[in-house]
Amino acid sequence: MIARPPVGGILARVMPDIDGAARDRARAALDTLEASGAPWYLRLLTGIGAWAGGGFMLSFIMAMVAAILGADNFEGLAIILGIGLMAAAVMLRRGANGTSVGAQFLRQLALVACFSGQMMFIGGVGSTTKSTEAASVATLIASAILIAVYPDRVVRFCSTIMAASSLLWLMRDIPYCADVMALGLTGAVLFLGRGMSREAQDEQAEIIEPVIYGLAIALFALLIVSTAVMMFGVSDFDLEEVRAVLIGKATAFGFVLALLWLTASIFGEHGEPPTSPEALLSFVAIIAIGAITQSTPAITATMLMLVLGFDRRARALIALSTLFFLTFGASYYYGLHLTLLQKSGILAASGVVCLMASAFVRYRYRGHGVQEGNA
Amino acid sequence: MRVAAEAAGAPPDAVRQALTLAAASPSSRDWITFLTGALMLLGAGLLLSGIVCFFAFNWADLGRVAKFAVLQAAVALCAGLGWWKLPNLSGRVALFGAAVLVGPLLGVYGQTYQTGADPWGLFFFWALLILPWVVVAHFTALWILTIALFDTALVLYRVQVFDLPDKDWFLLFVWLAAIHLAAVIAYEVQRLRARPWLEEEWGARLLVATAFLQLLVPAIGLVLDLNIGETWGAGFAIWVVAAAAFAYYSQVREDLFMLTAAGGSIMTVLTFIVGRIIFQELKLELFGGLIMSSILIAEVVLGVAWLRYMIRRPAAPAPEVSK
Repeated sequence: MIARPPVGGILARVMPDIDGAARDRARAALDTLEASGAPWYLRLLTGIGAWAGGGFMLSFIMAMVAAILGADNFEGLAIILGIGLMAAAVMLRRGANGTSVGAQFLRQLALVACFSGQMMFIGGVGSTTKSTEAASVATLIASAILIAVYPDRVVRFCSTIMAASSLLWLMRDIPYCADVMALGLTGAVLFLGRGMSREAQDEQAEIIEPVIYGLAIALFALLIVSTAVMMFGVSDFDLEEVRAVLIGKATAFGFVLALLWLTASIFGEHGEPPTSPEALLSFVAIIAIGAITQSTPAITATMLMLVLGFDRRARALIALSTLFFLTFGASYYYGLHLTLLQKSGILAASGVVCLMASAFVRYRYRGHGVQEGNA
Repeated sequence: MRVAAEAAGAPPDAVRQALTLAAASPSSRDWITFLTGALMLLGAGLLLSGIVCFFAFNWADLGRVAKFAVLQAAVALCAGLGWWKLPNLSGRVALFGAAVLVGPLLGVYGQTYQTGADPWGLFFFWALLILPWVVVAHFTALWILTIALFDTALVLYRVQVFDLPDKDWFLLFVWLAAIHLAAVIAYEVQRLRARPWLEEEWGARLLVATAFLQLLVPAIGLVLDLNIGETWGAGFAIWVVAAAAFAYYSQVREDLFMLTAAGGSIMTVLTFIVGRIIFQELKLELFGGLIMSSILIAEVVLGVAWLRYMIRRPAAPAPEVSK
């Protein structure tokens, strides 16, 4: 259902006179591209190995410098060493192409050096200035540069998450910073996933895809911390760190608006104007869900990511959104100030509404060759 | 898409058109199928949660006959709907619902007649009773639910019946992994049939990944000498299972995910072994970090290179399927 359209079929549509040789060349180019790629679980393995290796390398360098210069003279040097390591890692990575074991060794070495350099640079800035704000700015700068110049999805993904966390830390004193952050992350994901032109998306896919996942994970993390704080009552404490992660009504409203825009945009792509009965019904349903679940805005946010994931045929985003949707759904019902008996009634009633909606849609489109599916 | 279109010699306009087609939103029919399926699964989940919460509340005003009648009627309704609608998704979801409702039914039975049975029995017999539906439904989610019930029954059994000593926790992880691996073996055997009972891979992958995570606990416990005592043999289980996984998923049915799970687990144990030798036995404090970092790089590179080789080598002949 969410498989991408076959390349051969698309080529036949845009080049009706395509011959066998051209088709073979296209197939060979795709095979080469696929051979240099890796599935997500191999990337995860590589990333975990690189982080652990980076940690050990960092401990070695720190111990070495402390042994030579003394424990108190490391801070300034760490910044220079960190920048040097990151620069060396970028050059090493850019030169290490191909699928040979030697090239893979250089790529992994570059990844470990990059993480070590990043940690050293950020730690060095923080330690020299005795300021977490300066360390956050250093994180932002290092992450932005690495996303742009380091050609690796693991680094881009991790750097996006680090940059988002640093930005929130820098904004923590500003009123409604969590709302601004949540809406900013949502806007960025929507722009990169749906707002950009298809050509630009394809051109920059190696940057855009890991950045979208990094932004989505950062958004989910912020929402889960905010929901947990609201559920367990820590929000009563007058701590700026706690206030910094609390999202409010403005965000709930923003998520609904974003979901409405995304839905309208998808309807538009299918040639349906926003005034068509289907579109209007969808808008009413979205507004109703947003109003009912305004105490847990994360539900609308995960719905938004789920719809975007299906629209972009991004299986990992669908899986992540489903997982978080279930988590936030459970927290919504848990947080209702009702008895278990009343909650059971509301749960059952919402279930019946969903089942009826499913049956209605199937009935409404019974003539459109819609299949129920069997798995 | 751009790479393929340009390699085929497509002019710039055709490349742009190809990109638009490749990145287009799914068709209206796919959206409707997605929407109806998602609403059905969500609706069934909410309704079942509502029913479970209702019986968990143990409403005193509702007599025992009414409780049994409501639950049994719900189970019968779901099972009947499942029988009518199988093999469609709605039939499978209905059977899933029937299977879930058996739990509250057993719970109400225990509450009403004060059987005094330990909770592990509820989960164990719940899993046993729904087995026929699991077989009929051909539904991965229901299969995973059954394994989860067996897992829960085993943990409760070990804790409630044996009052588990600390070191036996390591053995418990091996037993849990054994349940998962038995289920995966059953899955692989049925895949050899001409018409497999289950074809979806996510369930088996989830079980293998969790089995390796469970086996990692005693393996790391053994390496770090964490009071594992006479259950030390549990620490070696991961090597046996990984060897079997390497052999099966590289020679019989190629599956890179399974190989990665096994490889990643072995690499983790190896890292702990090397770390213990370097830092605890040899006490290499200064250069220990450098050696560990180098070993980790080598481990990952060799592991990933081997895994990449496994997916790119010529395909092994497909196993013969039973007729």
